[in-house]
Amino acid sequence: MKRRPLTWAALLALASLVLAPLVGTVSIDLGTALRELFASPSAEWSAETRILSLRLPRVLLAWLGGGGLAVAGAAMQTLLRNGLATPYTLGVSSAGTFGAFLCLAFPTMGAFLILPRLAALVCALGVTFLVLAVARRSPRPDGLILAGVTLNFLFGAAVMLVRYLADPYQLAGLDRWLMGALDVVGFEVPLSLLPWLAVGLFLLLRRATAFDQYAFDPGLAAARGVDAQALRRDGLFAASLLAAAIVASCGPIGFIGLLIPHAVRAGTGMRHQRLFVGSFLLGAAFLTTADALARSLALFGRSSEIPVGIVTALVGGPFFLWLLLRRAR
Amino acid sequence: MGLLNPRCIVARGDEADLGKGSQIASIFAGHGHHLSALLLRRAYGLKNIGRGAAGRDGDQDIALAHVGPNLTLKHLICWIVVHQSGKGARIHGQGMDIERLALSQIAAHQLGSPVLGIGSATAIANQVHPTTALERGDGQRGGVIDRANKVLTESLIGFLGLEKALTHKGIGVRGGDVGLHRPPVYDAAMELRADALQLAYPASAGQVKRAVLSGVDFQLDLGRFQALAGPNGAGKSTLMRALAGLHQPDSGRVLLDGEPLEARSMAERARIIGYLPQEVQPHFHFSVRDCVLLGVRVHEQSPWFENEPSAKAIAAIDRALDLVDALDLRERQLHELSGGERRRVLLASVLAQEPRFLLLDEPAAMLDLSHQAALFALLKRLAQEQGLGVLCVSHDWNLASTFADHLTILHEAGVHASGSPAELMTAEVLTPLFGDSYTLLPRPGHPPVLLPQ
Repeated sequence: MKRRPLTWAALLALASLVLAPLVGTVSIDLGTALRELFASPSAEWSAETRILSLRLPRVLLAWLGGGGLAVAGAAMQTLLRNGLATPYTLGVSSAGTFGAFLCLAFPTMGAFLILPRLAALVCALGVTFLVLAVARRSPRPDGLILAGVTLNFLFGAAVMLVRYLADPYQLAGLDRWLMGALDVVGFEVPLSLLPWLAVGLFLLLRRATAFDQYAFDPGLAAARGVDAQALRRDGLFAASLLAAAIVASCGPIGFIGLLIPHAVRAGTGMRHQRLFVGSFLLGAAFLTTADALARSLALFGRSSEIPVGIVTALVGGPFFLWLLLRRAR
Repeated sequence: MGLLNPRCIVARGDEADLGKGSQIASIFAGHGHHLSALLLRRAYGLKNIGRGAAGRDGDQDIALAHVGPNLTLKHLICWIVVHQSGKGARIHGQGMDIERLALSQIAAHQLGSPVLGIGSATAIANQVHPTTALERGDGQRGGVIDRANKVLTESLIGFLGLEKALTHKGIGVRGGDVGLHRPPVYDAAMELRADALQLAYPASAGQVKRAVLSGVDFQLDLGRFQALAGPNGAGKSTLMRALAGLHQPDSGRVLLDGEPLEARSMAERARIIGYLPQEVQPHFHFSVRDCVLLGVRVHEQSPWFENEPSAKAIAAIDRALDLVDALDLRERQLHELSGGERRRVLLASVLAQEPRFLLLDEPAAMLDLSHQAALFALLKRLAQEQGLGVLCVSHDWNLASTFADHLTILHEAGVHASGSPAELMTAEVLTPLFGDSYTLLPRPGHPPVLLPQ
């Protein structure tokens, strides 16, 4: 693991992508299912094959979303020079949740936005621009993080208000979205995430060596030809763009953006080319695995799946603590 | 005496030659080397080489200091050719020197002087015209320097033999493509100058702006170790940051080689000026190697993804660490190092930028006595042997006056005094700063020691 962290991460990511569709409360005979999937018309599929075809887009969404969140988290932690930063530090998740809730709770009111996912994207992007604009005008160096935290609270309150006003019968649906909304049907959602992901990752990876300089010391970065302010602005924008698109697609899944960069950094060191790529691979593997776990576990006799957000935190929390203890040694 | 130990040097190009602008100067202008100026100065006590005229005739065998085509004193281009009796015997040390040697050999060939086995001088003359290209901007300049480098490397291989040339650090051969590790910045004797610098920090509401620098003139030369001293709040760090281009002055200018600093891109400045602030606090854990790599990156257009740094970059990291005698720390983590080791590694990361000017803010703060002395001795050596222009802010007057060639004292936002340490460590200069709280103890062979009283 120490020697070739990226190779291991790539293997894990690949393995999770291949194996996760096979895991769940229903076991699938892979050979038969694949043959049917590609050879027969969908009307003739067996139940198992239908289930596999439902799992595939979901696994892809988890894979892409987990990877993107981890990269966004790594970028945020560097740019805010804070190991506690997450992709949601600038308020993206609560704003996205607010947008989605508006549509879910008041279908007529949200009709002009058509879809909860679209509403979430609009709100999350809007708050990104708002935070960056406030930070630019603020004379304080910590203006950005304070603006982010403030807007987080603000939208948190707005979310509560929506919940309070919503029809009690809809609360269960709202909560379900809040705990991770990977249960998509069809490839539309994962595919619509792709261009956002491509743009965000492109913007970050292109400036990876500038991130190295910034992480070491922003003042020194300026003396080494890196426009630190521009890097911060562009980097925060790219990371929030990633987070906004993912919140809109997958719901506000926490912990990955915080945990994965720390785990990867321990293996790859501080070169961001490696850190970004490693974070994507490990984040993808992690969320895909967590989702597979969520689909397979039947707790307390409930046969329905556990929300993935609960699994990421329950699995990730102890792992993060172990990581802290291990590095302190 | 110095790194190359020249047996004989002839400097040609005194005031009278300034108008001639000879052929060779137009071929090689921009590739002149401060090391040559430095060696000339040290070997023959010639003053002001690089900025003014110098000349002394001697053995025609080996050449020359030459005049640039722009016919200004500032553009005097100096050249040396070193004739070594033992072929290649003394060619050790840092990568740049060997390259300079090759350049000089070629220059000598142009003059018809005896040269050791170099055949491609005409090729260089045909391919490289830096004088015109240098003025056209960065992109072309890079191309010209790349080509020049290739030719030079070939010459070097012709001179040393392939094997020896390859075992020398900093030369990489890849797929038949011969290239020196990296072109140094080729401009001739440069200077970094502050011209009537005014700078005030923004005032909070209801207060007057506080002037930090008011009308400060300052000059940093290559090949010299200069120190900047003065009481707290005198503007030392601010001046240094302005020289590094990190503070925009309210008025006045910072000139690099006669041009305003802003005329060059941030990236280009970073290849010429290396700056190390007083405190560097990486938020994350960096390995020593990654830390020094940050300096190397100044010269590299790094690819999209690179699992390990290139062989060239690793060679450059090793070379920088070797300079500060910290090669054994390469695999360590920065945060595990002692204060002294950490300082040396940070210095290596700045040296890895291969700058011409080195600006260090309190580099010896927090170090114990032996590390302080070792660090300042190293800085002096870098100025003398590598020809860097080193400027160091120091609170330790005795340390500064022991090692520095030149001392500038700032006081109340202006230059209080400037000169050699021996000239400045006197009661006339120091009393306005410290009143009667100090005493000077004479010290044989060195400027007097400043002690509190």
